[in-house]
Amino acid sequence: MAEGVSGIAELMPVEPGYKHVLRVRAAFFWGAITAGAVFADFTTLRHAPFHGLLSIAISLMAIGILAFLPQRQWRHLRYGLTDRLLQVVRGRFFHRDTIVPLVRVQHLDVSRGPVEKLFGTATLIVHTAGTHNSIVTLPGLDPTRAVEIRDRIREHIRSDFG
Amino acid sequence: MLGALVREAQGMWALFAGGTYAIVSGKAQWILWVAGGLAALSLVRVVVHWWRFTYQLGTDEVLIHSGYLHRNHRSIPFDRIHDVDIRQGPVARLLGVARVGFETGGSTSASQEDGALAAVDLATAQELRRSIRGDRTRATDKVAAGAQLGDPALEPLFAMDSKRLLLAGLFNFSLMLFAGLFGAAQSLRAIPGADPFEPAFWASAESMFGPFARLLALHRIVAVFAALLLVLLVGVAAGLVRTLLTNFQFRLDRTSAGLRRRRGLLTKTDVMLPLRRVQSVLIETGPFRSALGWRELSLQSLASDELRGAHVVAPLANSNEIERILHEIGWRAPPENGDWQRISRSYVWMSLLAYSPLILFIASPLLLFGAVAIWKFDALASFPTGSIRTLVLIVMAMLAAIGVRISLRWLAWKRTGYFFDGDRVLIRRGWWRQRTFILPAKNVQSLDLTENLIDRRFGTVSITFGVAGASGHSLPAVPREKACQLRSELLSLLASAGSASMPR
Repeated sequence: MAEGVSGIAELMPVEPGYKHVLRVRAAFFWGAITAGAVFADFTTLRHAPFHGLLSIAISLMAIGILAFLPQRQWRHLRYGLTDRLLQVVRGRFFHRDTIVPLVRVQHLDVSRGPVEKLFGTATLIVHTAGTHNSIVTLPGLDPTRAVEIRDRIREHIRSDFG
Repeated sequence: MLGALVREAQGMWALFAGGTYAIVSGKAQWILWVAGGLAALSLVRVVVHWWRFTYQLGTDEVLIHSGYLHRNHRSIPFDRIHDVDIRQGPVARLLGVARVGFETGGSTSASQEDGALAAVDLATAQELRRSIRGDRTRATDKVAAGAQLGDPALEPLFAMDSKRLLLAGLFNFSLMLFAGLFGAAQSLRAIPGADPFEPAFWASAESMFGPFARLLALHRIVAVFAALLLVLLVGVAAGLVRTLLTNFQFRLDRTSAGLRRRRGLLTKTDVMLPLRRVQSVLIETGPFRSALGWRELSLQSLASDELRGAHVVAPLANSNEIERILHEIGWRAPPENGDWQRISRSYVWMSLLAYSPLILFIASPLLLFGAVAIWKFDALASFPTGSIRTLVLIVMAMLAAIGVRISLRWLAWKRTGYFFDGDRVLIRRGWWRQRTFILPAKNVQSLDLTENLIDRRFGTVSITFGVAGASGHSLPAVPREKACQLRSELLSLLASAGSASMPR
């Protein structure tokens, strides 16, 4: 435990591929919203004076969000790992800085969804015993890196009870 | 089995209500058939459930087999049982049975216990507990069986006499209930003569109270005060009844592994609290209680109490008694005057900021009126005076409400703070619900610092401590440097404590 008293890890960015994962997920979400808007325009708003405005506004907004948001989200997602804690920092508007002491980890998951597989990333899920925030996720990791981190944390759990 | 039947019957209140409605509205026959069918069905269900429900006490586990079509075999190792609580409702007491609940802290929803035997007779229930607890404390075999359940001859650690119970009931008057009653009084308006805020209500009471009621009927303002008094009285009475029901014959005993709490008037509960499961201590009080030196002590552990998260171990106690209980269970009482760190004043400003759209919205018609008055005074005359008066009244009432909110926030700000006390953090919050948490560093599972746009403007963050089985450990609007300092201090403690205590 050679860490300094401050003990906060040096923060690293996650894989750039995570931007695409975020974009595809956002595309699904905003695609659905846009479809809803278009549908509304052709049904209930058919005779409204602003007919068509909703579809255009929503789709423009969706394009804007898809173009700029994933980069921002990716840029502000950082993580750090030392030999005694895992730190996950995310967001700018709604900033959240979570620290999990490794000795507190109960169990670990590495999960990969279809979109994540497509872009070569994986999500590390850390479970603690806490009620608040008992599940801490770290997305956008390289799969081998995720497994490596998992094994490193698992060492701590093992030595804890051994 | 009877217990289950009773529960089933309780579940059918809605049906009874519906049936009554149907009888009143003249569709009785049809609904009676449905109700009869459902009742028969649930009777069958209860019988089948009882028939197929068995439990078994193994050498180191409880086995519960249940279900007819979908058979479920559950095994609960003694080692994982936090609490064994024995609970007797009024009907169960008549029949001499009790419900035995096993709490493992693993349940996904807080309301649902992990395993429960709905109705076993009381002696068996005690025996069950003795064997489960006995197994848990096998290491200290020398401890007499009496100590395991708390020797009845010994002085209880804490008990409430009737005077204390009454006092607790007076403090149990809840604002929420008050608001509810107020709302009910308002909705009674629809029925003529039933709204205590109208003189007519008191006029109808005239025959009972004579000249006093006539006075009320004449003066509306007096009627309003009388109504407030009435609502207040009902609120106090409800608080008294509620306290009497839950905390009657409250008794806390020290046992070999922890504490044993017995209480209840109609429904008697008997709960064992193993001490090593306690994650943090909560001391709660209010403005009135704290002025008179009364506090409520609860223990937050992995298992949750019947209604609230924490187990109340002393509903109304003075500081000496609290200190005694804490000492007995090996915790230090919070020091009288520590180095309490205040949170940022921005906590108050932030709420003002949150209300700012509302304030603007309210102020805009006033500004409009002002502008019209300056620009062309005559134009004001064209507005009906009545509407202007109503508008001004509404605006004033809303501004007053916001003012009250902000002042409450300010009071809360004055009391909110934290104190890093060696190997633990003390967190103090709130003005109306004055809560003090004692949180040992070794029980912190994770740490969260969050900030939003407004926070960033003020340079503050909110800290949330992840604690197993308990919530509420958070601090708003802590200056950033202070928060980081607190965090690093906690982390260095955690590193040195290492693997000290994983809750099990």
